Amino acid sequence: MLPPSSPRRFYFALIALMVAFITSLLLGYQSYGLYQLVQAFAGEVSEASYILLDLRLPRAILAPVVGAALAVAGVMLQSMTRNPLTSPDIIGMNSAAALVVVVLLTVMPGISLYWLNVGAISGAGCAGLLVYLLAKIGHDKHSLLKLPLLGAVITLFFSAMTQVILTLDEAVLEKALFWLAGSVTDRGYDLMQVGLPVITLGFVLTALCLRQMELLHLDESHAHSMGVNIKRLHNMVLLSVALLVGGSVVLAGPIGFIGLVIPQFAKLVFGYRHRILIPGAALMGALLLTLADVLSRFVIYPQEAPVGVVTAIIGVPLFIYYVVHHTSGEV
Amino acid sequence: MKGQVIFRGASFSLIFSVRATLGLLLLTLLLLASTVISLRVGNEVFGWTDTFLGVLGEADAFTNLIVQNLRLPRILLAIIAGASLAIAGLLLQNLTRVSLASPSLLGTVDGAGFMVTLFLWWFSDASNQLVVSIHWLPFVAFLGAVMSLTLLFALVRRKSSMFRLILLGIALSGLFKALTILAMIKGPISVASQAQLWLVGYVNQTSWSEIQVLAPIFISLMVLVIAAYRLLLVSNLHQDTIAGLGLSINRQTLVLALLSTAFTATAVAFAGGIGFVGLVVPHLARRLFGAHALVLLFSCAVMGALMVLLADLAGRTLFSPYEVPTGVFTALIGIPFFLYLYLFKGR
Repeated sequence: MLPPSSPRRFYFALIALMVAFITSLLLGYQSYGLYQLVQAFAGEVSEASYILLDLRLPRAILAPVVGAALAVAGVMLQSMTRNPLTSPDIIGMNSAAALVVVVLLTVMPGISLYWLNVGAISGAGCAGLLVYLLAKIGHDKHSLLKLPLLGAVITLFFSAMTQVILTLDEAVLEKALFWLAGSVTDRGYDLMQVGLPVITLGFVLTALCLRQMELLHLDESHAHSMGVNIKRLHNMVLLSVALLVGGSVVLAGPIGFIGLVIPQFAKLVFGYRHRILIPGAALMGALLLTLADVLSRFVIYPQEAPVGVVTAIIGVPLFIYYVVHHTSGEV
Repeated sequence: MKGQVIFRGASFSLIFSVRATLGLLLLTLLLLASTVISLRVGNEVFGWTDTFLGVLGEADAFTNLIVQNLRLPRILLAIIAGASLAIAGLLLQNLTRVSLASPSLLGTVDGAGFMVTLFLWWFSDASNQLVVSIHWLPFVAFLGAVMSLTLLFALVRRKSSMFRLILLGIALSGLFKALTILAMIKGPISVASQAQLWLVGYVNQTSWSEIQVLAPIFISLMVLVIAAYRLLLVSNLHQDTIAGLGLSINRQTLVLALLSTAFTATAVAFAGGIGFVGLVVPHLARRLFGAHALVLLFSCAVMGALMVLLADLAGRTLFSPYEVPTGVFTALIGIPFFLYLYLFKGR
């Protein structure tokens, strides 16, 4: 079943994203009208302009970028592993990045943001590689259950390690809390200066191997006969997934379920060709995280919920729907 | 039969496997030894005589306080929680015929955790004191465990689909975790810290009043499960065979599910989300003692207790003066073992 990949769906998703973006600026603890937004952009200084431009604009930009990065990473990981039930967070990349950050903060308290980032990204990459390798050994190599199960267990392992360190060093807890609960609020510009280039690099890498992605799911001998060095492609993809996930962990902490559910639903909307699927998934991921960010301001109003919680509350029912309706039940 | 001793009475007969009996005895001795060591060591290390006198309340006031009122209750809690979790895992694996089923992997623990957080939040007054008795906590945890298991089975529909059971279990546990975080943020701050401790699984700060609540429940559950051990035998058979023997599958399923949930709730009510005991211990027990149901039950209970007790001992001695939550150590022991089993040893 290949749905027509009409550009109309792109336009529709783009318009929805724009609307969500503006909603994200306007709604919150204090809600504003469009008129105040225009005034603020025109340069009028007031309380409204401070909230709109200095507090809400950064997060309204951050949310779609991170959402897109996670969704694209999810699509690539699922294609590479030939498993629609995996995602960066499911195989433990988020928790590994968090663990590395906590370890670095404990061992070298004065570490610079730059190296912290490098650490988070290499942590994510190593976890991806670890699960990828583990999935290749042992029996039932082709069970769809294997990756999610291994991932869930590895995640628990990493969080147990993190827990040990946090119990031993409570001072780190405060600094690390930031990376332990996903959120897009109050991210400083210094963080963005480090995180955004990383994500951009990840997107560029993705774009570079976009043409070969169609062959991503082939095994070695088939890909070879098509003239593609599949090992190099896998390495490239793993690297860009690590960059995208590491960058978004740096910017927003561990945010789950976007990389898991968006690819599945993006396939329903945009079809299976990666040249169309990947930009489409990026749009849908951006849309979902922006909406989740808006919702996070209202679930327990007047307090704010971590956006990772909201993506879980939206994502889990979607995932359950997918498992119940799109898998046969016996694999 | 070789390696077995048979007793025949007027109206009953018992078969003992020599290997299983010896193994169980050995494990029980090991558990006793660990209990004694656990009573002795910690931040303050006592001599052997002082420890024994302390248990009886005959030593000096300081030793009495630490051994009798601080260490003994938490050791008992560790034993009860470990045994309960292991048996819960065994029953769940038996019931679903899925070898990877366990309370923590299927989200049962997280469901209970969510209800416990809600309970702590809703029934606290302005000064953060509980307005109702703490005795209700196990029942609330039971309610949460029942809720999440019912939801899971309703979603899976076909009981023996390993695939769906595990996937949906992982998903539901994510959902309950998220909801728990919400409740923790919304509720007063003391609830958050209390709930946080609960979630990682902690047996310290246990007092005798908690043991007084748990011990009768645990003992009656043990009696029930031993009385119903034949159900465990039956579920190894094919469903048609069960029907042919004139047994009701539905009743058997219901009894096993309720017992498993009750055991999980007993374990998590005060000890919290201690993971991997219910997953790892039944596998190990099967490997060591074979598939005899009664032997499995006892060996699971003893080995589960041993695992949590040792994890607690490690948690409070390895990084002394800091205490690492018990659940962390059961995870650190359980995960490598699980990976080994899953990757190299077939279902």
